[in-house]
Amino acid sequence: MLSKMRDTPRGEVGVWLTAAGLAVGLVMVLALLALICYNGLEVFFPRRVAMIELVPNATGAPAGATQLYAEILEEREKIVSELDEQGNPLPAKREYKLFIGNKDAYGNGFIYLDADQVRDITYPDNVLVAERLEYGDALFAPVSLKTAAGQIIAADAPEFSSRFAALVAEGNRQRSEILNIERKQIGALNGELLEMQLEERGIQRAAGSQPLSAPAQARMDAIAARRADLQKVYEGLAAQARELRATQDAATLTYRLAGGAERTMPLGNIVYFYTPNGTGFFSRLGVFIHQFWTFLTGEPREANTEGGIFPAIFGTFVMTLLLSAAVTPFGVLAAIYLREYARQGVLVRTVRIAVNNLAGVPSIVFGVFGLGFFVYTVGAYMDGGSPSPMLAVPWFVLTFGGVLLLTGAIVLTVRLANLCKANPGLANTYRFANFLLWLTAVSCLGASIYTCPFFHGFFNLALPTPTFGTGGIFWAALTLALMTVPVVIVATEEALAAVPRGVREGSLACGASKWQTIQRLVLPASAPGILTGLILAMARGAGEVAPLMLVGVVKLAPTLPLDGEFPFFHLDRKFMHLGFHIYDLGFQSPDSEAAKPMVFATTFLLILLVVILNLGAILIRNHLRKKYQAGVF
Amino acid sequence: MSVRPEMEIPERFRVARGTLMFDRFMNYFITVGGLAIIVAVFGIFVFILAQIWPLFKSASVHELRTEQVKQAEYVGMGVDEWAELPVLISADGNLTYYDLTGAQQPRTLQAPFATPKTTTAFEYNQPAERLAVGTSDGHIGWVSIKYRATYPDGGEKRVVEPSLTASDWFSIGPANAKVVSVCFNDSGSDKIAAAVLEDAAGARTVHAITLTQTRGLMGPGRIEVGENFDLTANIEGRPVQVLVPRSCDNLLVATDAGVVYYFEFRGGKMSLRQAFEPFGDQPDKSIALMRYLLGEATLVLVGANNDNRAFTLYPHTFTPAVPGAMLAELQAQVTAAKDFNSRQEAQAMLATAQDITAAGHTLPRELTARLWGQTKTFPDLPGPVHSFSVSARNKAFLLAGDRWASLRYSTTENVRWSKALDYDVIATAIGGKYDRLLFLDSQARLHFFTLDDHHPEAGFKAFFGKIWYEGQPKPDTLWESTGATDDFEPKLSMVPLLLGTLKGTFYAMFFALPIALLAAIYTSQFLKPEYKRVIKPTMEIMASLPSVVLGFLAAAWLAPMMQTRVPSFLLVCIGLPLSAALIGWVLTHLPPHIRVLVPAGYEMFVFVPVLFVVGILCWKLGPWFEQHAFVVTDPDTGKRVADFRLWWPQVTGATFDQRNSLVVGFMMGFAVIPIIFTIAEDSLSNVPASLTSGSLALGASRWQTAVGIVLPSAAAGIFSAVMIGLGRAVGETMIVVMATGNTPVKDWNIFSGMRTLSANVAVELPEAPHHSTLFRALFLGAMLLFLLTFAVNTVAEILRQRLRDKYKIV
Repeated sequence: MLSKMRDTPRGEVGVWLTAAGLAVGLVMVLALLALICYNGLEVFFPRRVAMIELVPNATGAPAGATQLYAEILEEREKIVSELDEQGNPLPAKREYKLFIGNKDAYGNGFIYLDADQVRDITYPDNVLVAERLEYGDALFAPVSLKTAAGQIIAADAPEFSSRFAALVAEGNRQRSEILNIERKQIGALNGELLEMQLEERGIQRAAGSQPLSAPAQARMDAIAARRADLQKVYEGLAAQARELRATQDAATLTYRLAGGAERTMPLGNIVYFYTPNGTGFFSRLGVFIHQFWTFLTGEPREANTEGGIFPAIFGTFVMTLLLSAAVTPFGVLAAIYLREYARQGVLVRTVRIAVNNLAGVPSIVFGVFGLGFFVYTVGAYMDGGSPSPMLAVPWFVLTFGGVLLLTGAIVLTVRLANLCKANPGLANTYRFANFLLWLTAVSCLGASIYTCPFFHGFFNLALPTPTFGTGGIFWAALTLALMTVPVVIVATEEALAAVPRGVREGSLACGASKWQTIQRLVLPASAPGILTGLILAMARGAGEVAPLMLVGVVKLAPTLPLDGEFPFFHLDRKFMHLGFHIYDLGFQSPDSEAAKPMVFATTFLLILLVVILNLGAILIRNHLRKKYQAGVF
Repeated sequence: MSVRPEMEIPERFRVARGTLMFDRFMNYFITVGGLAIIVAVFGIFVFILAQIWPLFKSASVHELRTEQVKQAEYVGMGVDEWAELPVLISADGNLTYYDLTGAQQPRTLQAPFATPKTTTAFEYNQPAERLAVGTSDGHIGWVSIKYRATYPDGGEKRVVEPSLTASDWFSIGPANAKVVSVCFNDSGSDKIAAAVLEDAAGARTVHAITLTQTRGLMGPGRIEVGENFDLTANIEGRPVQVLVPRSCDNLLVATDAGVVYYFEFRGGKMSLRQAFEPFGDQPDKSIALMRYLLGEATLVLVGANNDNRAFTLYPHTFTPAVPGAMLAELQAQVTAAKDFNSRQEAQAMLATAQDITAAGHTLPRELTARLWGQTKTFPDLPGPVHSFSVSARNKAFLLAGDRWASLRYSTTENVRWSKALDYDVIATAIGGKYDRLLFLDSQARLHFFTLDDHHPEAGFKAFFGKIWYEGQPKPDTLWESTGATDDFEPKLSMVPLLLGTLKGTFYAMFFALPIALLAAIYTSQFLKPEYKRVIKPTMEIMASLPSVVLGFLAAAWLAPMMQTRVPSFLLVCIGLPLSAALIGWVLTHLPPHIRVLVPAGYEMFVFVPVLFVVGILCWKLGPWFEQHAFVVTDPDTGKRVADFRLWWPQVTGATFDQRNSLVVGFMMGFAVIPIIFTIAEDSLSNVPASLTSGSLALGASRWQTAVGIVLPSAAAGIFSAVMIGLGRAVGETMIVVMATGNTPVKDWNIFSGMRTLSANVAVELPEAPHHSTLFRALFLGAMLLFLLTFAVNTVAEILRQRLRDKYKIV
């Protein structure tokens, strides 16, 4: 009997198919992460530089070149789509993807070269790679160094490399000094000039077509005098900067490209150099660390394709900080209301479903709202007052009505409990009336603020240049906060629900008030859950780009949103963002091949940030689960 | 009701007043605050709705005031951009300016021609601010009626000053004939004037002249008459009106019998292309009014029975039923044609074909010729039309007659505003900013109206209906929001965007769904539970990968790679599931002692190396596959090539773009897989163990249990997972922006791109002017997106809650 039974389980093929599904999903995910990590980190690791001997008149190489210094980025098989007469495939070809740098000499830093165009590849030891301010990297053999004093040091002299390093370091020091003068000192002057210009405009506007009063005239004269002073200071600073620039160009380096052409460049143009060939792993690691550090702390150069991304990191950081500051109180407050105070019924269930769904609404919709509401409505109002002010008398009526309604609403709210107790049948009517009263009162007061004829904006003088009426970090943070508020509400609600009922009952039985229970028992117990929600919100906010494109992110911000200039935190400033940096550089850059390494590195950083935030959230959540699984009352 | 006597509460049980008050305060604070936050969050919906609302409003017009002007025989009226200084053109060629701000007295200026002549015909072109004049001795000329706004003393008060410049007189016909209809236009490079002249005997002729301007060192030089074409011989009947469009490449002549002759001006020759009767289907075919709209590509016509129609020059096509028999078939069409218009149309097509053969070219498979045809029908007018004017901003036009006026919009065939008046309107004007209307009545009173119509081109039909746009061969739904010229007709249909959204979502789900669901089933049913704790968070982290990263990878890495590797990709897609099934089949047929080498729950780990081997093998076999399966002849070089990129368009007729739906679908899969996986896995895991245990105990295999018991029980949860994944795919922005070409195409071709609602907003909103129609239309797009995802998510959420309740009972 038993022998007739199948000894093979049915449907193993299906099991293996599902296994394949999981394997494919996981491998895809991990391969993607690995791809980003590899490409992102490999950017900084120095490659060896090959000397490539070309066949005469090689196709694909820069015109006239017989030799090239190049980093071999990739050697691959070329797909040949043409067939021969019989319809058989032609033999496959190989090709190299090379980085030859020296954009000033060759025009293009990257080339593709067929393998049959290459005669020989060697790795000479004397090659240097220099990172320059202009034209990207240079790959060359040094010839000689000429100091500012006119002393010439040949490349084979023993002290060459130490002198070269010292001169480059000196150049870097001077450059940061120039930057300090131009950015900080002259920037401060410009700020003051702008302020004075606004003040002048204010005085003139106040006077209208009347002649200026004596004190106003005196102030105008003082401004004019101060402006003349500032102009003098400015000229002094500018001269100083010019002088430093001139010294930057004084020392020069003569070098030779592969194939023999000698060229000269000022040392001030070189930011960093290293020897790629014939050095050990640790010195290459040193280059790697240096490059990575510069990337993290430097400022972008050459249309963001070179240099660092510090402003983007900082912008992302500040924006995320602002976002969490905005999202936490609102999210937690709404969740406490929904879970602890609201009467659980159909309405609250509906609200809960709706809040859940809001988390699934596309981010771009929030961006659209942010642009329309924060920037164009609230921002424009802050800048220049109401766009359609009411007449004074109806406005007073409206405002008075609003205040009356508000008072009524407050009184009704306070008396609500007693009223409901006295008349239980009408309780729901009272509650609804109370809600309506609040709604009308708030709408009235909102309308009254929006149509106020006496408020002309905080930044009226700067108009038509908008201050808050254009995208900025504050609006971006608020928009993203709105987008992530459902995440925090859902997470907080879950955390509150996880606090056992016994805890609350015990506390209330001991005579604690409701708020005391929440404040001292429920909130601390659910703090990790709230934190999880917050971290998830931050991760989502940090990685989001689409809404930011509408509300204030820029490809290159001249200033940081947080600096030493009063009032230190500049909420109206535009900012850079890692995610947008990727979009802009990877998608809109004119030289996409040159930008690619930079984008991969930025991508790596952003992924790292998001993954760390998420891992943190997951760890906290697991920890929390364990705690409550163990400690049920 | 008896009141219990208050008991004295002992001191030690008393709560501090502060605590109580704080508690009460927190009660109110949290209630009010919590409700306020929830209301505010839903305020998003209300706000976006408020932004969209004006799109669907019709125009509102209010009379400001009426002013008596001098009695005269007026032939037209013009107005400046700010509608402050209208000008009345009287039949004697005088121009009278009325300052509506009241700052200046009315002024009458003479047209500043060097030598005055008796004027007999006028044509005022408001967008070009130009009045063309014909004289009694066969000459034409024109006056530029420009305005200049100055701000005296640097103040904010505007003073509008008229400036008039006149051309020379140019002879267009015999000196003894008077001009009865005149038209002049200037394309920048060409200038053409045309006129209908009538001699003393009443015989009419039609002439057209080209005008050439010499370019001297000191700016533009003198204008001289180039060629003179006598078109009379081509026209049957009595010509009444000529029209020259701004492009200066054609010319229209209307006759009193209601026939319009279309002459094409090309290569220095004026040739008759087509004749058509705009009201050929009416008993009285005559034309009461024939004028251009802004852009001068659309013709607005009013018939004798007060029908209002629009005609446009658009490409007519003809494909012969038998290839090569084009001429014969067209000839047959000409003879078989029943009415005037279709005969003339067939004739024009035939002439085009004959021209091509005469020039020694071979006929194309599909013949295309730009001819006139009716594209719009407007509601009938209440009475005979007495005056017409056209907006200089958009495709609106104003018609008025005895005791009525009607403002219409051409694109949407919409009557924006109409009103019964108590006077007879003899001249009208629309303010330069499309914010004022002016009527001059037969009693010489000037009526001045404000027009509040910010979005005339919007409306339900504009966003969701088929519209016959200018120059398009058929009514269509198109998105093309901005053009190079001022007279561009915005095309704001949401349909291609909705289709693009659905297309992107479909291809994303096409990849994501099998992988995510299979993975969820395996993880919840077959995988050793201890590994689940690692695998689930890994997938969850994936869900939070910023989409800009995925978009960048799609655009910079996947798209270029996929471009040459489609056959490899196809092989991998087939090879992987096949190999999995094969392993499963082979293993089940091996003896049990070998079978146990792969313990249950470890299949996934065994499959990973297989995956790599099969994957790499298939990838490497791709070029070989291509050389055998996708060989075509390259049309450029004539060689045989094995290239999928050429094979696909040649075989299917669809396009092959580098950034296509395959790339987007695959990359969007990364964003969608983790979401579907997590939620589906949750609902599968939540099926009570008692059900599975029972099934297994009854002898079902684990696969039978999974498919027969677990899947049906968790079906609602899986469906909700799919819906939520769908919601994410619908709203995904950055991947689509970066990895598709963002062209609003309407096909389902996997190798072409698309433009989704979200990408459209992201691309266009940063450049859209605040409160313009485009701005609000993009808000409408956002609203559609909001509603779409909200609906999908709500369905999913309700299903999930149902499921949860179901298991509570089990």
